[in-house]
Amino acid sequence: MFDLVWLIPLFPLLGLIINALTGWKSAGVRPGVIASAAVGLSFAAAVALFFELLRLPAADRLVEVPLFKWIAAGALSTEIAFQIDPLSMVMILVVTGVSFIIHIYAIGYMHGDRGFNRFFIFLNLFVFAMLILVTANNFLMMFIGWEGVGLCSYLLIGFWYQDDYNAYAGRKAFVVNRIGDFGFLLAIFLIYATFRTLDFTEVFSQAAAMPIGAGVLTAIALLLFVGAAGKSAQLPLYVWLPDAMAGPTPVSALIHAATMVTAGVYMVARANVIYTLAPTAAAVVAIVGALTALYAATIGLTQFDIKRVLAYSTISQLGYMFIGVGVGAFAAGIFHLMTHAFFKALLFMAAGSVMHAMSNQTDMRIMGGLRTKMPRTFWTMLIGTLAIAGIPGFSGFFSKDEILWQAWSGAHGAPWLWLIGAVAAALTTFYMFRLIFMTFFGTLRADDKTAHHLHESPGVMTWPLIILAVLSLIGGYVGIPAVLGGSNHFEHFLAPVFAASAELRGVAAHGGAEGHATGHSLELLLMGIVLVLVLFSLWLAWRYYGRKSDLPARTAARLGGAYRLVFNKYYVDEFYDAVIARPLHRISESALWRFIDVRIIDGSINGTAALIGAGARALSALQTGVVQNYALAFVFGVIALLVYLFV
Amino acid sequence: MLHDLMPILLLFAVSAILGVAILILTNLFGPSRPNPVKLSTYESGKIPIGGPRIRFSIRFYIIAMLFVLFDIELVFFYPWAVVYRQYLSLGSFIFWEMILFIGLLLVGYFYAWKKGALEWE
Amino acid sequence: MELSAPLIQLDLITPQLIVLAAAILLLLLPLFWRSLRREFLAAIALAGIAAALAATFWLWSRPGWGFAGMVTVDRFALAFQALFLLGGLLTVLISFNRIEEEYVQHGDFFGLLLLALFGLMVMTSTTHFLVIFLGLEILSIALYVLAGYRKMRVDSLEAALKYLLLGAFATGFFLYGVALIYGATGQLEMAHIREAAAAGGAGWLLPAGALLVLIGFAFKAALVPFHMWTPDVYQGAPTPVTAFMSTGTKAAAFAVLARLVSIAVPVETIAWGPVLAVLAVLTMTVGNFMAIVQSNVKRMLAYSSIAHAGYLLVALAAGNAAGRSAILYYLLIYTLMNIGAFGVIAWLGRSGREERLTFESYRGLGYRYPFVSLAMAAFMFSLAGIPPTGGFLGKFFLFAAAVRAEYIPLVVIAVLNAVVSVFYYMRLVVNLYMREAEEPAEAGKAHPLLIAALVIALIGVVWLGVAPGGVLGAFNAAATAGM
Repeated sequence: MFDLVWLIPLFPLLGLIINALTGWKSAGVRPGVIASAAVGLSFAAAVALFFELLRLPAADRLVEVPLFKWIAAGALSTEIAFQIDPLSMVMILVVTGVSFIIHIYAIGYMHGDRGFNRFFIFLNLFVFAMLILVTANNFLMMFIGWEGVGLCSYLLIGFWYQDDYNAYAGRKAFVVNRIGDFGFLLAIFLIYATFRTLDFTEVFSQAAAMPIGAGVLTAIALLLFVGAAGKSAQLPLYVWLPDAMAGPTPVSALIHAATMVTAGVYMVARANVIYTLAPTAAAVVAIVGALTALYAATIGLTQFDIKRVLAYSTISQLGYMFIGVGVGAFAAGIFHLMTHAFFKALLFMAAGSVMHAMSNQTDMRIMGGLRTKMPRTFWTMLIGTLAIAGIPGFSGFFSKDEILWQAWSGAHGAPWLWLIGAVAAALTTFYMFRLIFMTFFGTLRADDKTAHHLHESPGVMTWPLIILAVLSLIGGYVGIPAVLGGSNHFEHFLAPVFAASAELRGVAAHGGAEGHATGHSLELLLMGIVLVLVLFSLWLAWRYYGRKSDLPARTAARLGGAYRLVFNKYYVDEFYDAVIARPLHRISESALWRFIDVRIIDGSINGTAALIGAGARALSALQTGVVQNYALAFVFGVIALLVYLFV
Repeated sequence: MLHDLMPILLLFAVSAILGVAILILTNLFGPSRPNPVKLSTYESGKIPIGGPRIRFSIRFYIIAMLFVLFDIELVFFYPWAVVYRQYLSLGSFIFWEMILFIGLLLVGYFYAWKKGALEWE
Repeated sequence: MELSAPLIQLDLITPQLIVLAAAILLLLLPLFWRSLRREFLAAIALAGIAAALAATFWLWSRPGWGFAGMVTVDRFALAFQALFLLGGLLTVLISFNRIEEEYVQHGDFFGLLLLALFGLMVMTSTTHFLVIFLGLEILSIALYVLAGYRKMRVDSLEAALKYLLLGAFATGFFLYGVALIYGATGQLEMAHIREAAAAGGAGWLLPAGALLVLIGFAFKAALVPFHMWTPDVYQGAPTPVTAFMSTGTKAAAFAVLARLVSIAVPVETIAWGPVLAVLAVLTMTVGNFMAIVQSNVKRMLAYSSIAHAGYLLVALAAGNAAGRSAILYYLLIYTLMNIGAFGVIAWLGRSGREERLTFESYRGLGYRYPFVSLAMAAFMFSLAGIPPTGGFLGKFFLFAAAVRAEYIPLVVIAVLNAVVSVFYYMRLVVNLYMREAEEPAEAGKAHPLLIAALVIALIGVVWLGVAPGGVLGAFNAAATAGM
C-alpha cells in the first residue's frame, strides 16, 4: 500500500494533463468535473493510506518511499522520495480534502468564466505541487514543491489578467515570495554545507547530536524562517497577501487561507529538531508570530472589503500558528493549522457566495440584511465565525486554547505571549462579528439593481459550505485537551514526529512534566479569562454594528489619527513605497532623466527593482556604442587586474 | 655567436646594396621622360591627393587581401622545403602533408575564383 | 639532430575532420549548383554534425592524446565537443525562420557556421597554447563574417566591425600572455608549464602571462569589464549567430579557463579565487542590472548572457571538480534554453527587414501560439532558475560547488542576483500571457525544423531539471579527466 503513495500526487497531475490536452474546446463544466474527480481520487487514496498508517505501531509510523534516484553529484545524493509520517499524513488529508471541496465549489463559482479550463489546470497544478511539498523527504524536493505552489499562486492571483491591478498583485506576491525563497535557498545551502546531506531523517538525526544553541543551527533556523515568513505572510513580508485577494475567491480559500500559506508552519514543524536546538530562533518565530497576530487583527478591525477582512484575519491566524510552533508546541500549531483550514476555507467561500449574490461587490458598507435572502450562506458563515472566534464547542476553541495555554506554559512560553494572543483573540471576535453584523443583519444598503439580482447560491456552492461547516463544528473534537476530560488524540497521533524534540527538551530542562499537575487549575482559569474577553468583544460588536448606531463613526472620530493609522493598514505599503521606491524614482528621474523609460518606472513598483533600475541607468550611460570607449573599459580592466597581481 | 648571425648580416647588406644599386643604375641608364602622373607620389596605385573619405572599388581590397593571404601561406613552403629531404627518410608523410595543405589552399582559391573575386569587372 | 616522426592519430580528431569536411562541402557545392534547396544544405550540415556527434560518443570510451602533445582528447574535451555540436545543431535548425530565409540560408552560412564549430572543437581538444590560438582564430574569423552576414543592414555590419576590432584587441592580449608564459617557462603545453614553474621559480612573468590569457578569454566569455561589445554585437548579428556566439563561444572560453586555472597555472602560482570572485560579482551584477532596463528582448538576452557568465564564474572560482562538472552541466542547460529562446525570437521576425523585438511584441501570444509560447515561458523560467527546470538545478550545482569551497558571501551575492533576474524574465512571461495586444502579432506558421529545435530544447530543459542523473555522472567523469 505504501508503495502506491505516488498515486496521491499523480491524480491531480493526470487531471491537469487531461484538461490541458482536451479541455480548451469544452464549453461546459467538464474540465471542472475532471479536475474535481482527480482531487477526489487523491483524497480517497489519502484516506486509505491514513488507515494503513494507523495499523502500524505508533513508533514505526515513518515510511519513506523512494521513487527514483534524482541527483547523484559527488557527495550530494538526493532522491525523489516520499515521506509518510503522521505530520505529512495530516497535511495530505487537509490538502486533498479541503481542495476537493473547494474544487467542487469552484465549478459553480467559475461557471461561465472565459478561463474556466485554465483555472482548473492551475488549480490541479497547485494541488500537485502542494502534495510534493508536504510529502518530500528532503529539503530540495520540498523546495521544488515550495516554488511550484508559489508559481501557481502567482498565476492564480493574476488569473483575471485583463485587469492591470490583478497582474500587479500577482507580481507583488511573486517578488515578495522570492525574497523569502532566497532565505530558504540559503538555508538549504547551509544545511548541505553543514550536514553533507539534505535528507530530513539524516539532517535531523545529525542535528540532534549537536549542542543546544549551536550557531550554525540558529543561522539555519532563522534562514528557514525567512522563507516561512515569506510564504506564510508574516511580518514584515506579509504585504502580498491582502493584495492576493485579487484572485478568484476559491483561490483565496484554497491557496491563500487553507493550504499554501500554511506551508511555512509546516516547514517549521518539520524542522522541529532544529528549532528545539536553536532556542533563540524559536523565540524569534514565536515573537514574530505574536506580533503578526496582534498587528493584523487590528487592521482587520477597520477594513470594509469583506475579502480583505478575511485576508488580515488569515495573517493573524497564521501568526497564532507560529506562536504555537515557536514556543515548541508543534502539535498545537499543526492542530490550529487543520481547524483553520476548515473554518477559513468556509469563511472565504461563504464570502464568495455573498459576492456572487451581490454582483461581485465586496464592500460591506453596501451589504446588510442578507440573513433572510441567503439563509444557507448565513448559517454556515456564522458557524465559521463562531469557530474562528473560539466559542466553546467549535473547532477553533480547542486549537486556539491549546496554543494560548502553550504560549503561557510551553517550553519557550511566557505570560506576555499569552497576553498578546488573548488580546488578538478578542480583536478577532470583534472584527469577525462586525463582518457578520454588517453583512447579514440590518437592512440592505445596495442599489436597486443589485438588490434585484440578489439570490442564494446554487447547490454546487452551498453544499461544500455545509460540509465545511460540519467540519468546523466537529473538527476540534479530535484534540480535546486533558483538562476538559479529553485525551487529545491529535497530539498523540503526531507525537512520534516530535519525539526527538521532546527528548532533547527533556535533556535541556529537567522535569518539564512536573508543571503539568499544577497547571490544570491555571489552564482553566486562563481559558475562562479568554472566554470572557471573547464574549465581551462579541457584545461590543453587537453594540457597534448589530443595530443601527452611530457608535462606529463616533469612535472613529474620537480616535482620529489612531483610527486612520489602522484604517490605512499602518501605511506600510505607503511606507515601503515612500522610503524605498519613491526616493529612488526621484533620484533617478532628476539625475538621469534622459534615460528614464516610463514603462520601466511603471513596471518597477517594487522598491528593489527601482534601486536596480537606477543603478542600471547609471551603468547604461557607459554603454555609449562607441567602440573606442569599449576598448578603454577593456584597458581599465587589464590595468586593474595587473595592479591586483603586483600590489 | 657572431658566426651564427653572419647570414642575417649578409642578407641586410645584400638588400641594402641591391636597393641603392637599382636606384642609381636606373638613374644612370634609364630614359627620363617625366610627365605629371609619373612625377606624383606613388601610393600603391591610389591617387595620393584629395579628400581622405573617397571610396575605392571594393575589388581593390579583395585582390590585395587575396594576395596577402596566399603570399603568407606560400611562406610556409620554405621551411618545409628545407627539411624535406631529411624527413623523407622517415616515410612519405611529409610529402602528403604538403599535398593536403596545398589541397586546402586550392579549395580556398577555387572558392574565391568561383565567387568572382578575381574578376575586375 | 635526431629525427622522429610525429605521432599521427587521425582517429582522435575524427569529429573535427567530419565537421571540417562538411564545412568544405557546404562551401563548394553551391558553386556548382546554384539552386540547391535550403533544406538540402541544412541536411548536409545536420548530417555532418550528427556524424561528428556519433564519433564523439565513440571516442568517449577511448580517450587519448596525440600529435606530439598538440591534441588532447580526454573526457573533458569530449564533453565540450558534444556540447558544441548540440549547439551547432540547434543553431542550424533555428536559422529556418522568415527573416533568415532572405539572408542566411545559404551554403556559405552553414559552411561558416561549421567552420566556427570546427574552431571551437580544435580549441578545446588541446592543452597546447599554440593550438588553442589556432582554434581561436578559426572560430573568430568565421564569427566576424557571420556577425555581419545580414550585409544590407547597418546594425549587422556595425556588429561585425565592433566584434572584429575588439576581438583582435583581445586576441593581442591573449598572444602577449602566451608569449610571457613561454618566456617564463619555455613551454607552451599546460602540464609542462606547470612542471617548469614548479621546478624553478618563474618570477612575475608567469602570473602576468596567465592574467593576460585570462583577459583574452574574458573577452570571449563576455566578462565585465571586457563585455562592452556584447550587447551591440548580439543585437546586430543575425539571431541564429547570436544564439551560437552566446553559447558555444562562452562554453569554449570556460573550457580553456578551467584548464588554465586548474592545470597550467594552478593556485600555487596565482590566488585565482579572489580574482575570479571579483570578476564574477561584477559580471553578474552588471549583467543583471543592465538587463532590467532593456526594452529590446534580444538586448535583454545579451545582458542576461553576461549575467550567466557570472554565475559560471562562481563555480570556476570554487576551483574544484564539482565546480567543473557544474560548469559543464550548466553550459549544457544554458545552450538548450538560450538557443531555444533565440529560436523563438527568430521565429517572431517578419519577412522583410523588420524584427519585432520589444517586450510589447510578445503581448497576447500565449493563447494564439500555445506551443511556442509555452516553450518560451519554459526557457524564461529556466533562465530565471525556477524549478523544476534545468536552470534551477544547474544554478544549484554551480552554487553548491562554491559553497563546498567555502565562498559563502559569493554565493549569497549570486543567489541575490538570481532573484533580481527573475524580474526581467518574468516580464516577458507576463507579456506572453497576461497582456492583451492592441494589434495582435501575426507570426505565421513556424518552419518544422525550427519547431524541432524548440522541441529538443524544451525536452532537454525539462529533462535536465527532473532527472539529471546520467548526464551528471558523465560530466563528473569529465570534470576529473586530466586535471
